[in-house]
Amino acid sequence: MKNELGENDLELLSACLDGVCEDPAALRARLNAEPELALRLRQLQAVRARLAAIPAPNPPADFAARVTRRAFARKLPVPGATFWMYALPAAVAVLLVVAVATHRPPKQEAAAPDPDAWRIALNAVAESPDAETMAEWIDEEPIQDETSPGDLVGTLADLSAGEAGGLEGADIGGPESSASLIDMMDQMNDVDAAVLAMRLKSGA
Amino acid sequence: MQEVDDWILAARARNGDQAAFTALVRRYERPIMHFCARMIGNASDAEDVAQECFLALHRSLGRIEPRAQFSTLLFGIARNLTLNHLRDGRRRGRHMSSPMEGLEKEPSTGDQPDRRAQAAEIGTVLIEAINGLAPEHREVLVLRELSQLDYEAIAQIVGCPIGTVRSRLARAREALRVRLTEQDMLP
Repeated sequence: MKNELGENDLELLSACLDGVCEDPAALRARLNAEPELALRLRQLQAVRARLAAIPAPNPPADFAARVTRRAFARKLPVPGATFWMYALPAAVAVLLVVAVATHRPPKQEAAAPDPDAWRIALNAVAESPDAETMAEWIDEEPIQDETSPGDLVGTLADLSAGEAGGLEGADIGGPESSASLIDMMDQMNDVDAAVLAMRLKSGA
Repeated sequence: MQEVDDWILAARARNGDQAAFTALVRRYERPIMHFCARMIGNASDAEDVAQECFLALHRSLGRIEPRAQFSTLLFGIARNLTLNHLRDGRRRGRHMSSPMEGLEKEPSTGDQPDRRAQAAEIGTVLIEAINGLAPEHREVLVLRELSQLDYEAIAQIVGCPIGTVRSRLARAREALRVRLTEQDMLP
């Protein structure tokens, strides 16, 4: 009997309890015809009466005074004009500090290695005297310890042994061979090429 | 003497009138304290939350506009604070204290100790039943039965349609009825 009522009936009785029943006449008719509904309404009224009898804690006598003291002890928000009087200079000061703290003098850029250095070096090789000219020089003035084109071949072969490969035995002895030398150096990595160029320069 | 409107007091308080703010607090301290106590379930925490509610009101005086009823606004603040308190309590694993702790003694029902004891027992069972309700059911029950607010105001405070208020209220009342019936405390 106690759990037969549906949600709608529960809401109907609850609304009736609060005096907001939409159709009081219809509800009265149902209450007369359905004793369970009438009992449920009496029980809900009893629940309400018992709720009203529950003791409630009252605030202490000085509650309002204490709250007021605490509320007004805090700084009140600064009104508009005064606020900007302080906020604007403060903001500028903060910006200045940040700017100074983050400022770094511009670095002088380190000279990047010239990727065409080895080409320049090879051009120098290409423009180097041919065998006949060198022979004349030898006649004129014997050169001791000078790097000859043959030595250059050996140097190139040493340098290229690891990565470039295929330079060993290549005919790069004369200026006319500089084009094929460029082709081969294209296969080398940049570092090896730069080293080679420097060695060529120092040997020239 | 006619009472000064709540919003007028609020406007004066906003301009620094401490007496106006005190008057506002005095006007609402009991209903807010009762609401907090019923929502939270213990009197000492309820006093802290009620105090925080009025402090929050003071902080927001510069922003609020007199569009709704002042009481609706204040109960809305109290409701949010009590829900936060309940959430924090659950996070910390804190349990509600004894239902009657910190409450005033049951109003005298004459010189019959048996009846007083019985009323106290019913009160304890009811408060336990209220504490056992889901927060969304508890708040509408407390706002209606103890704070005596109408459906429209409750709907504004909890932020849901009036129909939802009606159904939550019906379920909350039914839960209390079932609990008291189980304890043979109802006809």
